[in-house]
This record gives sequence, C-alpha cells and structure tokens, in this order.
Amino acid sequence: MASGLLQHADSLAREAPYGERYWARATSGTSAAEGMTEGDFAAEFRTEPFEAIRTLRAFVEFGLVTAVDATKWLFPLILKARGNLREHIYETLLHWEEPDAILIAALAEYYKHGNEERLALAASLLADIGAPALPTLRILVRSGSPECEMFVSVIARLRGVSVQSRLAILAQVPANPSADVRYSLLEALRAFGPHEGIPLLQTLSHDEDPDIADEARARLESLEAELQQG
Amino acid sequence: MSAEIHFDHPPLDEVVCGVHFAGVKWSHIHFGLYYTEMGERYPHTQHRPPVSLFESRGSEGLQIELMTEPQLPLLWYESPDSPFLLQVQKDAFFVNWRRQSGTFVYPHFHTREGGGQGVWDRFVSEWETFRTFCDKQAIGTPEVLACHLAYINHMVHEAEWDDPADLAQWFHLLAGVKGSSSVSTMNMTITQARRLPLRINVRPAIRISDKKKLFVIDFIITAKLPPEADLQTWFDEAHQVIRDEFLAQTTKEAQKQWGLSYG
Repeated sequence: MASGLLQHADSLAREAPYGERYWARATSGTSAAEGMTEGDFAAEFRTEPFEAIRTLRAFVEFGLVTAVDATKWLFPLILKARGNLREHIYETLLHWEEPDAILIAALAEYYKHGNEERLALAASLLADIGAPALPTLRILVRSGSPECEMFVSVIARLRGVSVQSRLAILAQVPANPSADVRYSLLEALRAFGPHEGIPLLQTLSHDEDPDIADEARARLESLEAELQQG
Repeated sequence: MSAEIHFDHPPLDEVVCGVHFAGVKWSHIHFGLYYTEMGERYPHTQHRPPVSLFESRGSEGLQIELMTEPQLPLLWYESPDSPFLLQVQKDAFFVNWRRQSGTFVYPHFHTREGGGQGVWDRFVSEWETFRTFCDKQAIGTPEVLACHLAYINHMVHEAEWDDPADLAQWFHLLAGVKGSSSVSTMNMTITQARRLPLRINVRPAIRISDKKKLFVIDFIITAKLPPEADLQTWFDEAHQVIRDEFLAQTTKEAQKQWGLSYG
C-alpha cells in the first residue's frame, strides 16, 4: 500500500503548480524522534546509561534503529560497565540476538584495544544465544584466526545443535595455524562422549606441535583402555 | 469561512506557522540582539541546524550551494512556561505551538472568545515584532516568499493503537496498513481544486519523554505567497484546507472519540 501511495503522491506533486519548488517537512519543535545516531546514544549513555539503553531498545523495537547497529553501539560499552549495568547490557545484547554483530564488534574492539575479556564476553553471549550463533561460529573457525581459541569450547557445548554439526565445525580446528587454538580443541573434546571425540583426537595425535600430539595420544590410549574395561 | 470546529482531546501535538523570507542581512550578532528583546518572554535558547525547508524538488537533481561563510544556525527561543516556541534563521521565521504535558489546552488557530491567544494571532504578533526588529537594526525589511503551516498529530501506541493496522480505525488513508514497515516512509500529496498542495506524511517515531512508540501524522502546506495575496489570506486558506482534509481523512468514530463539536 505504501509504495502505491508514494507513486500517487509523486504524480500529484508533479502536477502541483506551487509544489514544485517548495517541498517541506514540518519544522517541528519536536517531542518525538524519528531516528537515533550512535552519537545521540553515546551522549545519553554517558549521563543516564539505563535510560539510554531503554531509549535504544524502543528505537530497535519500532524498527527505527536496526538491532545490528544497536548491538555494535552497545557491545563496546559492556567492558567498563559494572554490576547491574553490565548485567543489563548483557541481557539487552542477548535480547537482540545478533551474533554476527557481537562478534564483529568484539573483534574490532579487541584489534583496536586488546584485552581478551572482550572476546570472552562475546563467546559467552554466543554460547547463551545457542543454535542461532552457529553460522557465525562456523565462519570464525573457517577464517583460521587465532581468536578462535576463545570460541572452540563454545562450539563444543553449543546448545540446540547436534553432536554431528558441532563436530563438523570443530573438524576444521586442527588446520588452524595457532597451536593455542589447536590445544583448546583437546580440552573442548571432553564435552563429547568417548567415541565421538576419537576421530579428532586421532587427527591431533599427528599435530606438528609435539605437546599437542603427545596429549592427544595419551587421551586416545586412556579412552581405549576405558572402552576395553567397559 | 465554514463553521468553526473544536476537539476536546485530538491527537494534535504541534502546530507550526512560518514564513520564508528574503531581503534581510542577518548575521550571528542579530540572534543575540533579538534575544535582548525577546529574552524576557523566551528566556531559553537552543542552537539547531538550519532547516532546508524550502528545498527545490523535481528533475533538476542535486544542487550545490557554494558558501564562503560559516552556515548560520537556526535558533530556538522558548520558555518552560509557554507552549509557544520561536524558530529564527537568516531566511525563515516560525512560531510553534507545542502540546504541554498534563491537560490538553489548545488555543485553536484563531483566537476564540474566552480562550487563549490562537496560534495564528501569536504568529502575527511575533512576526510583527520580528519585522520591527529588522527595521530597527536597519538590516532590511523581510519580504515573504513562501508560507508554511503544519499540523502534527501523534498516534500513540497503547493509547490509539496496539497494532499499526489499528490506525485505519482513525484515518481512512491508513486503511490497508499491515505492519510498521509499510508506513515507515509513507507520504502522500493531496492536491485539490484549491491552489495549495497539502502534503500528508506518516512516519514512525519515539516520544522522547516516555519512549512510547507512535506514528507522526503531519498535515503540511508549504507554498509560495502569490504576489497578490496577503499573509492572512494565505494562512486562512491553508488552515481551511488542512481542517477540511483532516475531517475528510479521519473516520467518524475517530472524530467522536476525539470529541468533535461544531460552532
């Protein structure tokens, strides 16, 4: 309907003798806002953080700010927040459920300022989002970045996702250039049953890093012994 | 003129009367000098970005204006005790009536017996003061090029609607609306046998005071002041067009709910 009206309006405007030159919006001394910028939000957050989040949530709910933008504006503020405010930010980010935006914001902040707590917070949020975060985590693992380390255990335990799907993503971790990331897989595999983790342990047992390979072999021997006893 | 109408509690949030003018050499200092005259009644000021109210529209495409001096702002002159706001920039002057919190008291467009000063009458009085100020400062006499009248209505969530589709119960033009996305950029122009083109815009917004969702529904006329016309004739005609179209575009049920009465 709206597009029909717009076409109608345009055709009428072309015909309007006094409308061609002057075409105005109301010059409101406004009590209502039709949009919000990151600057508007940041300014309100500095003085009234809870109120600013309430405002932002209202804008998102009405489609005047996208949840993606709102997540990118809010995520960077969680690190310095404490107590109730930190909880409130966390709950709000969970509510919007934008795993891509959370990860992008976390990585951007981490690359700029460091501090692994940023990545840990993002990992925690993605874990709480659960299955909808799976595509985001898949892309992260495929990237082969060293920042995967924080997220390997999240993938291993991601609720609402089948064992096969989780293992399929984790199967790419042994190719990660970072030994820390590959080592994290050893720990993460404890989330699976004895049989389920064996193929990945076998891959890791041939890892170029002797510590990882030794640990994987030891875990395999231990599992085989358990299975023989069982 | 047709019979006067009155609403007990309409969705009206704001009315704006304004003019676009030429012939005045306005500079930064005049904002301050104007304040010395107006500050007693309008003690608070706010700098705002200037409005491109009277922009060109049509097929001529993007227009670039080369500026050698910093852009002059738009200044608000307001008072916490008054529903009226003055907006002044180098080539435009507006008087806004704004709904105050609490009981709804709208003085109407024209002053009525026993009521407060109407929006039009306040505009005339403030415009005259402004013209006198320009004369006194010897910066030229403002020549009105175009006029602007806007009625801004707010349809508030949980008061007038739960789902955007409910707006059709109030406004005929919103029949068929199914979700907020379909009205997010809606605007239409209604041109009739009259000379003045009326524009109706519907936009979602958030009320700043309580974060309520609402739809802003503007009825706006902005047009040249023909050489033969005077301000009063233009505004009377514009007011009548908006009034008639508001009645035509709103449902009988809505008018009843808003307490419409004649005379």
